[in-house]
Amino acid sequence: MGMTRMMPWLTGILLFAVAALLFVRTANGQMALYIHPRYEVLMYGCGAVLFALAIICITMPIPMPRHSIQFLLIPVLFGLGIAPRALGADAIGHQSTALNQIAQRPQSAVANVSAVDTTQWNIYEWAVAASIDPLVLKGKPVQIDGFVVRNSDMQLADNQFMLARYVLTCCVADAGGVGMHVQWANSASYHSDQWVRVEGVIDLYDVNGVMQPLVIAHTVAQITAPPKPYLVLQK
Amino acid sequence: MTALVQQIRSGVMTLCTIAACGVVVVANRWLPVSADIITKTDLFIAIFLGILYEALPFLTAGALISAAIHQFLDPQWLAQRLPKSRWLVAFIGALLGFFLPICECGSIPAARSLVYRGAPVSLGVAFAVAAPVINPIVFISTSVAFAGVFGWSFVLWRFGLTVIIAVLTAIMMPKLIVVPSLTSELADNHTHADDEIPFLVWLRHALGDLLDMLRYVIIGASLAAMIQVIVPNTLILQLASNAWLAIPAAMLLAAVMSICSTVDAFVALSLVGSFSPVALMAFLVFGPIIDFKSIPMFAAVFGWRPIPQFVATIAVLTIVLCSAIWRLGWV
Repeated sequence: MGMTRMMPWLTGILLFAVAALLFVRTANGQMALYIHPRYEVLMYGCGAVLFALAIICITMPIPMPRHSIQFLLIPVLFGLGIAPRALGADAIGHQSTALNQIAQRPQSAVANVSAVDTTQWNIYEWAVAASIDPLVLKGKPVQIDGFVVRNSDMQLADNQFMLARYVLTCCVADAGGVGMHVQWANSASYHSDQWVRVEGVIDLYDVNGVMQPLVIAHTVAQITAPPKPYLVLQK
Repeated sequence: MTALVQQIRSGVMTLCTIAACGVVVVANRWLPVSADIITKTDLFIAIFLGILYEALPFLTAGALISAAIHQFLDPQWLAQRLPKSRWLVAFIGALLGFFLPICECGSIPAARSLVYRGAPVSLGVAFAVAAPVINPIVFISTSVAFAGVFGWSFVLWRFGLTVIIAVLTAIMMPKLIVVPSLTSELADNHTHADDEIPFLVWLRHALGDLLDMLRYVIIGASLAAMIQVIVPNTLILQLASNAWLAIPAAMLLAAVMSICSTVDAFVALSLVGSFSPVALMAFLVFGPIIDFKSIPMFAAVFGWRPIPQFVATIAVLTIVLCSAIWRLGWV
């Protein structure tokens, strides 16, 4: 079979592979490592159309655009060749985010913080609340999950680590890390990317004249990484 | 002989692609390279696949819409109904997106099909530029994100400025032409037999458009991912603190992020503390039109030669118009 006659077959197979990637990664939850879960339905729809187009490509060949196969190979090789992995502690310096007013819960709650159950807040909500008024948070109870960050360039005290999560709005391209400093006697026994649940209370410490929250941990328990590790903005 | 040379060249390119991607995969998984290299390649691949996966449904929808325009839109019907004024035609093109709610991955191939089916280039340009913003989904997402933060005027200005920029770009670049594509060649060289099923013909056209545009989306996603890895977002955010650099910095950030216009309002919302309202307006107006994913797609439609002028025109219009409404106190 000549190269020209093979091209529709090769292109069709690669389209099948892309469609299969969309189906499988979405079905097993790994797509959530790349995009916001709101797109999952679209992934199934797109996968179905790509399957149909792959069949058309093989059975009713059209003249192929130049280098279609080479370009299609890139997502297929990367998608199949490298196991999906959530962004972790090593990328935290690259992907930081600015805090904002999206998290409605703390925004409304900060005004009346004594009446709310702050153990329900995640790291992002704590960070937003701290950006509004850190002083009212002192002494409030905390229960948060996240991964440990203990990068050498962070200059943390021996009894401290950072607990962090990534926040996603659209896809990994806009993922931003948020974190809180945790004080715990056995901090050195935890390594970066280890997932833990921290329970404790908030204290404040001075960073260049700005008060920042510090979690005084009462317990730190190792947990398994959640299947959907990013915090997603629901809107 | 020429065909043989092309086949050999294609085979060599395929092997080079496999080898290049293979080296990245093997080095990332098995070779003792430094942690920093693994971090950067992981980040590059994650961002590349994130942008690509997120773009694929919209690109596929765009290819289907584009193919439908090609197959079902009657050029004579279109010619009889469009006004003669270029301004009016461009204005209609800018508003057309409201009825074809797709982001830039879909609007650019759809604009090309519109021009092939007899629409003036000015209509196609205005549509391609405006459609990612002028559509109901973006209106809802922008309203939900910003009406309560900066008020309704901010929301409405996003749409107003986009229409103005789309019309002015179409008028200021009258020499733009649409280069032939695979779909147009398919349509030109193919006479439909009576027994051909229209649904299958439509899918064939859609396949051609998808394969054509996918190449440019892959180039764009690679570029965007590469720049995000080399230039951390934190560096661009630092520029935002300078009043003069805030608008260009917001535009650069939007171009690098290459996110879908349907949700970019929420990403912009996350930047409220870092950028001024006018810089965020520039982010929301410029980003959906020009980013590292859309530039190669525009080049596929208009050719590479006019692209620098095209990008510069839209960038200058964004800076001037955003600055103007800021100086006038409208945002």
